[in-house]
Amino acid sequence: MEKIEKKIREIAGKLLKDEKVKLVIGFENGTLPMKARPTFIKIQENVEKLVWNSLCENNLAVYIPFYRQLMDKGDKIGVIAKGCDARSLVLHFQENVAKREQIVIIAIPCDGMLDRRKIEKEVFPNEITELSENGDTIVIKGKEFEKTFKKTDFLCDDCNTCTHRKPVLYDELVESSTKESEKSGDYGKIKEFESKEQDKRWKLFTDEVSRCIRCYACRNACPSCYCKECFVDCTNPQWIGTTIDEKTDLELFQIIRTFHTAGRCVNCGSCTRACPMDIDISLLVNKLSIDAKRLFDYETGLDIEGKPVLNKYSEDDSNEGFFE
Amino acid sequence: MLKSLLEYLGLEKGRLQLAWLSSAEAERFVKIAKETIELVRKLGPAKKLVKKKFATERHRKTQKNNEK
Ligand code: SF4
Ligand code: SF4
Repeated sequence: MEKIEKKIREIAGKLLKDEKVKLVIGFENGTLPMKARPTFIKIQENVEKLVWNSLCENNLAVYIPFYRQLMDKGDKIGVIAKGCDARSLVLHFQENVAKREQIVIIAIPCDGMLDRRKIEKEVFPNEITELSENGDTIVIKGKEFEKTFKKTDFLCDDCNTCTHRKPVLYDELVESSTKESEKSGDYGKIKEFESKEQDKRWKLFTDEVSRCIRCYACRNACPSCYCKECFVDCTNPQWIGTTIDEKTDLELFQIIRTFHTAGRCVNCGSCTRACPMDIDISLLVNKLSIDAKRLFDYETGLDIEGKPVLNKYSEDDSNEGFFE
Repeated sequence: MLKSLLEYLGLEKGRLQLAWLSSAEAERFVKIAKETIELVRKLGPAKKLVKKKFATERHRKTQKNNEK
């Protein structure tokens, strides 16, 4: 970890010093324990703030659409990218959010990020004040207790099923000893849900999303959700009710937002982690990734020359679900 | 994919129907329309993804109008 951190600071410092980039997006320590937060470094002296650990969970590609103006002026942006961030960047290149030469990708092969909620549940009701890690061991401290965990037992679900931990595209690579996940592409949770009865599935889905408070944290955390005006905010026409009184609006919101990421979701899990109501959004979005693979043999964000799968047409495309 | 997602979430199989049609395919259109009606009859009125509050309010209004 420290080695990686040192290397990141070195690369970021050099890029800023040589004025190759105007800005480096990375992580710094958050104010709460067990939280790293995105940071935006503009001057070389500040690179010491940059950190790298198992809490750097946000998908940093989400900030790229906000810097279009800066990039249009000819300035470049450095992004510290995990496997999923890099795939989101590829999607952004495919969709013309940014040009390849406008972004400097500082890639870090990732070992998966910790799921804070799983750890909190484990030590509940104790409050955690400190977390430190050493390779595969996580040590958690709080008032009058200390516990040691194996990191792999507390990874985010989406990090477990991750198919591309090593960034697919980069300018600078920080070497690490990362191995691809053993459960890569194993969507057991989805299969289990799928095997249930239809009405049971509907009940589970509606119960899950009935907790939604329409805060849109999921949308804002998602690098694929960058429309200037989201369908939920549009008032003319108003596509969907904006309150939480009508349960159908909650269901529709989740279904439509999910479907807008069809063939564009990289399964980074940012939406699920962002949700303050602990709604399992990956239960929805993962299904789309499975279908994209099953119907079109497609995975998001691998090929910078390619197009998102639903933007393409070929005569051999699957006609599943259509009338004969 | 949309159909697959909705059915995965528990919407009745066949509630959403999709067809590729061109304006020159009149016969096919009739055939598909008939089949769709058949299917929908079998499934009955939709209970899922229906706006309950809005629907009842409008329902009440039309009922009132009819009474007048
Ligand atoms: S929908 Fe969720 S998992 Fe998919 S790209 Fe967006 S934030 Fe990541
Ligand atoms: S983050 Fe969670 S509560 Fe907020 S809008 Fe998304 S699903 Fe709803």
